[in-house]
Amino acid sequence: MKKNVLLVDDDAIMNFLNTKTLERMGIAKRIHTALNGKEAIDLFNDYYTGSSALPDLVLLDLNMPIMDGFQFIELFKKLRIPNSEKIKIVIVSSSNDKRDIMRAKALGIEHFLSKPVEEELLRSVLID
Amino acid sequence: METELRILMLEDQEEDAGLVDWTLQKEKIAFIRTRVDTREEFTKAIDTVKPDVILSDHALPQFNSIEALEICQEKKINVPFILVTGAVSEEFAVSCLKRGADDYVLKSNLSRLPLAIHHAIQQRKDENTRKEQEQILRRQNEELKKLNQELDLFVYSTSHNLRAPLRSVLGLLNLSKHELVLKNVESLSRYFTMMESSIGQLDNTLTLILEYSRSSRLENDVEEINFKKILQSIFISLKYINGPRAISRIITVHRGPPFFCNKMRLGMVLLNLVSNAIKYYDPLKEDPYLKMEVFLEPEQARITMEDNGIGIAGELQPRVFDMFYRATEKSDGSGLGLYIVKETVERMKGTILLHSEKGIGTTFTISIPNFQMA
Repeated sequence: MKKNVLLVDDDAIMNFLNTKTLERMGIAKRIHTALNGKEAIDLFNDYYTGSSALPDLVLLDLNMPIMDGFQFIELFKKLRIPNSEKIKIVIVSSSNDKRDIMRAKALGIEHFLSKPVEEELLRSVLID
Repeated sequence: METELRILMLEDQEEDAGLVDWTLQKEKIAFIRTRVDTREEFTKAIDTVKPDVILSDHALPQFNSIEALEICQEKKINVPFILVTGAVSEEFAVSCLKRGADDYVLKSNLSRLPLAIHHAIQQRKDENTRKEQEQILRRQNEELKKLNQELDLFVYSTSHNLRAPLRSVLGLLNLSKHELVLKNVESLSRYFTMMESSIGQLDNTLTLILEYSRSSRLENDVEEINFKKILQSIFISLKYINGPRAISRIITVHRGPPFFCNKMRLGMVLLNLVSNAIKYYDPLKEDPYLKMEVFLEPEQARITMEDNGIGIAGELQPRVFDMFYRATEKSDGSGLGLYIVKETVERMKGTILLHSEKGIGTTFTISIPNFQMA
């Protein structure tokens, strides 16, 4: 089933690469991009006011200006968007720092991938 | 004891006081002795006499040594307190010591007194030195902790800032391989441009990292500064930086006394600020500018850099000088620039102030002391 995807990364080129991968996999109905956590939150506010469908999948970078990945997750939880548990948030980061992985787990994020996202790994994540 | 020892004696019998005098004079100790025998006199004398040592008898009418000791402790004076008394029980003497008295000497054995005084004063001095050293150690520890945290943050952010563009280039190379097979020249050309941009970012980050590591190890030589020359050479070196429209630059260096400081550090500060002003210019404004003014005073040089760029939002301003903080997505990705600027200015014992309004522009005011050779 095709998904709505939100790509969040401050590097436009990374968003482009991940878009290409999703297109190749043929799993995305619609792809939106945001350059930082704040832009992503703004998009969710738009979704919430009903202008477009919520994403099913968020590929989230950690290290971004203005609002980083962890700050986004914390704010996102506070928004309490209805059915937000169905939204899968996957962290896609170049960090392999254990502290980041642990912090992600503590926030309830189960999947931590490196970037750019690889087809095989993303498929196995979506099977869960 | 070189100068005269100031002794405050709590004693109601003048003869006993006389015996103490005689004992000290025998040892050729130079001293001035003040005798008090009431609580009020004692309390006042502590402030007026400023004693080096307090000798206290125990039982005076309406006032005893324990109370005297408590008064000393309340006033937090760090003066040795020696009980000089007639026969008392050993338990009492020990309890005095436990309460903070430095020593006790029996009036029947006054020959011990000079040594007891000397010993008590020395001990207090040693204690003070030890406390000072402890404070110094604690401060150094705090600084080391702070440096370690900075280093930690630096390593973490740097590895991301270096790795992310490399990953982008690898991803683009992969895509390019496919496009090559399909002979899609247009796509290839697009990908090459994107690779260039990522590598440029990488290069920028490396430059800033080098600057950061250099700034702490720069020599401290001082030379006379020609501001016009420095600023012009900065503009020449930034000629190829991004930004399609030329930003008008106005340099005004007011006349004043010759100014001396470390040229490399000053150069780094100005380079970073000018390049920021260019980077964050406002494309929507008719006439983007950067005005630089230098005021030369005998004690310092004051430099203002005023631009009408995109400005910095009020709530973000307190953090712009933080290591790796990026206030805008237009940032080149390292967030080190202003941190280096502030560190360098502070190393020159100068100050930097920020005034900015989002959408209007930003002004940096820097003050650098004039290290003029006398």
